Amino acid sequence: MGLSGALLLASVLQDPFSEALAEGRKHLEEHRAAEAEVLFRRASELRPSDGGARYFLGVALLQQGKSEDAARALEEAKGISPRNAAVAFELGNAYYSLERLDLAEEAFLEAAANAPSWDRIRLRLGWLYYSRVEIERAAAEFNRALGIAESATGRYYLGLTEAALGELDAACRSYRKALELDPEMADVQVALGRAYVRLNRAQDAESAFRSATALDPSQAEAHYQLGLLSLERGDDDASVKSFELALAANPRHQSACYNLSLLLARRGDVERADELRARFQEILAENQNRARTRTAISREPDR
Amino acid sequence: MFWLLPILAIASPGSLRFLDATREAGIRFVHERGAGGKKYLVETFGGGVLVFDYDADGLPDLYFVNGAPLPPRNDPAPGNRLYRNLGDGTFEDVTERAGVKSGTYGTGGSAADVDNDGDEDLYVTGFGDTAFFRNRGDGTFAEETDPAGLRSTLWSASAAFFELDSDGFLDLFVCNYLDASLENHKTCLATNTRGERIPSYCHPDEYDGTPGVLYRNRGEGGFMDVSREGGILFDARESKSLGVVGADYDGDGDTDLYVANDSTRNFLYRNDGGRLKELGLEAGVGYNEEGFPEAGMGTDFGDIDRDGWPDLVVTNFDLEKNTVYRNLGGGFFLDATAAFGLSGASLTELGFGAELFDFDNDGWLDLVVANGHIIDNIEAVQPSLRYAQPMQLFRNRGGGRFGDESRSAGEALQRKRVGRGLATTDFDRDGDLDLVVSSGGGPAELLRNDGGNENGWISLALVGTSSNRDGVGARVEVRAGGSSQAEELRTASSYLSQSELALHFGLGTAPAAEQVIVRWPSGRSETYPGIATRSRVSIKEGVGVLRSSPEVR
Repeated sequence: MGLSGALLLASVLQDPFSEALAEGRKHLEEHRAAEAEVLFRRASELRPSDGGARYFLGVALLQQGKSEDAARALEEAKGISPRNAAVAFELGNAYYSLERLDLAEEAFLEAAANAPSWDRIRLRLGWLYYSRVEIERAAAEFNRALGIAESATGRYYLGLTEAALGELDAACRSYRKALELDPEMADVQVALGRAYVRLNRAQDAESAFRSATALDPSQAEAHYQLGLLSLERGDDDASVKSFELALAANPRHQSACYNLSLLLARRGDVERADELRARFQEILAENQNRARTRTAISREPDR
Repeated sequence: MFWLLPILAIASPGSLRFLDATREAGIRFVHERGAGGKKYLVETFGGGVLVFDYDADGLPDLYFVNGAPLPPRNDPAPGNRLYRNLGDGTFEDVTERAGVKSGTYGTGGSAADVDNDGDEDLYVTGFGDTAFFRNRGDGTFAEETDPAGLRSTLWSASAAFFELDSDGFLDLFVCNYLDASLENHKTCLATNTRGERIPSYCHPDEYDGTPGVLYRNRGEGGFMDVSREGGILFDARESKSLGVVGADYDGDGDTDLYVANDSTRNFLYRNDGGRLKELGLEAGVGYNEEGFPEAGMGTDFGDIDRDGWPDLVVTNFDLEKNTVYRNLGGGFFLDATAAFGLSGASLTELGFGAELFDFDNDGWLDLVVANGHIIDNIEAVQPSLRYAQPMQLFRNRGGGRFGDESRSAGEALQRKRVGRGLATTDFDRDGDLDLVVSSGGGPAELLRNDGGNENGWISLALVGTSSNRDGVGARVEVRAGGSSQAEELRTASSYLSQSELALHFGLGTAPAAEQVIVRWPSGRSETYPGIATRSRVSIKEGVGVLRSSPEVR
């Protein structure tokens, strides 16, 4: 440790606010968000006019899923530091997790205006549009992000928008580029496989799904997709195995549960089929909002 | 040795065209969707096309169901229109003379001989009202909605006359859509590409659904609502029904019903001796392949892979597939959209009317879909989508795999329209199936099939005696050229629509149907030998072939 480091350490140790802030950040970096929250609250009380303490408090709360509290802390941080892109970005994340998408969009746009070269903001904004099924706007943001910096995530997201627009060859190119940049992304292999399925390239699809399960054996979606491919080949035994693996990886996998129930019913295993059908109906009810097909068109009834 | 090879007369798909014959046929129908700025959801609905022979002259006539102006507009309703087929390729508007105009907001309907007196009666669904027109047999109809017990003030959609209880009188199932009216109207907002909130139509989730209605034909001219005892589901969350089609999917000899619901699971009503039991989930047709409900619109049954079991097609919203379910037998279906080659073909289109029909007479059922978005300002919200969309034609290449022939089948199919109702008929009696399509807020079109009759065909009209007079629900198997194909006679299919009440079989190069086996709704089975290709035949139950008219091209 040099002299300047020692002085800094001494000053930190002498200042309870800085000490709480530094300690809190350490906890945050080590994924101990609850401990970090306590320290950031102390720091905020010690220095109410400090935006940084409230910002980190918001981040700690967000990591614990306390999105309402996080949004409140980040709004306070924004009041203190209105042009801070990081604050606006996390505020957007807080609103996103609260499904208050218009407020999230506003915050992300502010963040982007204050940090035009930060590609991550564009990716989040694009994802927000994608989840609102505003596909063209999403694609535009992903392209902006890629214009700032090449990234596997950007290519993956762009591929998703291309696939949603029916541009399957372009989607495959984007996914393959993402895999060049980061060969470990199992989700991208799954997305690539799904695009191949839609292109009637069953062998390529199977290869992609198998790559995904090799990368991540707990990839429920890849197992499920392999089950579907087997089903189309008429290999019911292989389908059952794949659907079982999908459900082992994720017992709430709606599609695997549904297809396995149908397949077992056809094979005469009525008891297990009934059990899975009941589970499927439970999962379906849980996912009802996600199953809506036209969220982009008609939200917010004007009553 | 070349002379030993059979001379194939199979028309190549590239030589077939659908040509717009609307103007020369004298069809002038324009749909009124009623839009006046309030964004009533019913404005998105469109109207159906019913093909039926109202004057029993052997030629298919056309009935177009119309909407009406909605508040704040108060201009007069244009009414539905009936066009009589004059037999020379043209039609005459006989609406007023026949007395079937109606003045309310109509949606769809079904036509059949419900009193077995030899002529076709007409039921019309609508937004807030329905109408039943009894055919007097002299080219005119009597409006008998109340005496027949068929009045409804709900928002009804497709309807199907079918044989529920094998008593020889056709019963009726009516799809109801949403519990939405002018009084409980909601306006919803969408975000345009500039981030502005603009008025739009609401998602059906904003309203409760309305259960369908099952009417039993009492035989003496009236109907009785038997929905509860008949097994109709009374779940307002689930019942948002648009399309209905009947077929004996389980091969037990009676007609089952499939009901397409908008954004909720679809229903499969198995007919158990006159009582319906909903088994969509168990049979694998309630949801798509992934176990999600889709926005079901139009639907049709047909034996796509010629394995003897009727398969099923359902059109859905954009970003969803048009789902095709393969009937595996034993009461089970499999979502085989990808295996049929249709998984990537319909994602940017919003499908409504859909018909399985053999447009090239090669013996394999093809698929045609009328597309059009529901949101009239969709371009402002999602620029990659269009309100008006081209139709799609998928040719069955044999073995149940489709290829997209939309671009090669003529400019008329490619024309963009807000497609809704769709029906098939051989209106010009040249041996190939033509199309009638309605457009939401636009002109209806008659698309003539030119070239489909290069291959041989037979067309069968049925006359029931113990069975209902139209023979609705009869299953006909045709054996020709070493293979067989089977179809059932049904009234409604597609979306809000009904195709010609005759069974049309493509025979390819076979010189004749060597054997025709009819299983009547009464349970009687009859076999007829040797019907020559290019014949239009009437078969009467218990009697035989009444009329065989070989036609020369």
